[in-house]
Amino acid sequence: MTPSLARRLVAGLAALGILTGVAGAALAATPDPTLPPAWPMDTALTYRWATNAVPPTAMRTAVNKAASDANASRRSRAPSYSYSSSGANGVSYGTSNPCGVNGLACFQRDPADRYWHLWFRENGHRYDWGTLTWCEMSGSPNGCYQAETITLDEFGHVAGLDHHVNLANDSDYADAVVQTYSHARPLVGWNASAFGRCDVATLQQIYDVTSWTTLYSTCLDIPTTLAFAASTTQVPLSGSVTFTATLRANGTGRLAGNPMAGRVVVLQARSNTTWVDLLTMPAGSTAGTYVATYWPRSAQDYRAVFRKPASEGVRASSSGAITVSITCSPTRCPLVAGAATQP
Amino acid sequence: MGARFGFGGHLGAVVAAALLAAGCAGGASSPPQGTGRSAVASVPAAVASLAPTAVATPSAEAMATATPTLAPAGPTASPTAPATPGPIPAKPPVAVLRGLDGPAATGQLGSYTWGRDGSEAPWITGKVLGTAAAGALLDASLGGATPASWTSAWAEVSSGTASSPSDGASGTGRVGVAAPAKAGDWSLRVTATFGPGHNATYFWRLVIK
Repeated sequence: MTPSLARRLVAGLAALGILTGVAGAALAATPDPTLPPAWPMDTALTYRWATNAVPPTAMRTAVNKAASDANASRRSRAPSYSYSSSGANGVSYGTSNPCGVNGLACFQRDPADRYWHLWFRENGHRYDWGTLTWCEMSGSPNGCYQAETITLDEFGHVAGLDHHVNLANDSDYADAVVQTYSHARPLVGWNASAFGRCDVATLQQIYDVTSWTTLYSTCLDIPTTLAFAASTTQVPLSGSVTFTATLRANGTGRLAGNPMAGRVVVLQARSNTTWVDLLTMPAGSTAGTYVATYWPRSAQDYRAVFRKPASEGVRASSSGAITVSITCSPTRCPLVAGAATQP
Repeated sequence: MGARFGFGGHLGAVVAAALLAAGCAGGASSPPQGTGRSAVASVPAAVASLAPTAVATPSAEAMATATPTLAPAGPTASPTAPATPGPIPAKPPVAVLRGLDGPAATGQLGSYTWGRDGSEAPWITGKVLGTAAAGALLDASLGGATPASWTSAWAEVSSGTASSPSDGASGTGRVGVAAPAKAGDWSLRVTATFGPGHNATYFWRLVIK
């Protein structure tokens, strides 16, 4: 079932009062489909201006800007792009191209042969529906197409992204640069200069994140797991216990089991039936671990919590609870709250 | 004829393609390059010497069965058997729309990805290709090929430009859509997917009466 079909079905059932509580999630943005096969991770793709098809200066500048845009916004180990006069692949401009009859630009890719090529139609090309105007070559009048944005779209395809499946009313158009149809100025997204969140989502799935601190695209919805350990479950009065939490992304493919570093993990204790935040756990020496030392003053349950961040497409998680008790001798333990620092 | 809501295999194909493109699916990922992989925290010496002796079992929520990181597939209704897509043509097929007041109309080919090739195009309006009665049932043939899935949308045309699209039909197999109930100058977009990396978008500008 296509995501678009799913959205329509949910909307219909909701209107009939049949479906409740699911529509919001089912209408969420979806990552771009993939365009297999993929490149190896961290592939550096170089391009040159094709012989006898060298783009004009303004177009060359736009293509180079798009390369920088792609490299800066991919947030994954997806291919990077750079110009070299001896580049392995070509970028062409002009009337000789394999683009569809209505194409503004087109690409070919074959990672198995390490081959790709981009073509851009000439400024002023006449279609039966209008004339092509590249913004960078014409002073950006309404109705022009931003070559930098179209190039970024093409770089997305070369990397392995297929056209994003938008919501029926295109209200999520800005979620992806790799689109089924290009927008002219001044429509939304006409001058995008970074991959959209749903482009990044698929790039991350295909190629993995750049580092363990890289945030996962908000177009994803990745479960996380939070393991929790204590150095001891019985401490003497004035003794300490060290808690270690390990946060991992529980996605699929390359996103399975990734440590998640640089996030906020909170140590909690249970008072009666209520969990209360004690402190934010500092990062441990191993990526994805968070370590805190605590001086309990009474027997309590402890756990670690990772709350869903607004800026990342991951789910919250909490660990199981560990009970730490106090060994007091020979008198009864005083009922005093614990401390994060040694008393 | 007409739109059908089937639970086709497109999402499954997308997931499969994503896993295939990602390479090995099992095991831990290879450590990424770049900075910040190993955060080094200042740990008190007394703590460093302590080995964890108790491990808490993560909560049920945390240990929930790993779900695909693609967006949810929609309601959990039982899927019906999808239409069987035909073989993928060598290039984007020609799309012809029938059910018009006059002769069938060939659609304008817009953006497509087709194996190793792809092309970018705008929402194409162009010249009027035909007329249809409001609410008429239209169907598009795709050169004898059967898409795995398709979506459609209608947009009113003003001054030769398509406005924001509104929801159209979608489904699997044969393409069938209903003309808008409102008379006027409209543009129909149909995007047909024939398999991973094989999809094409077509446009017809129609006068609805």
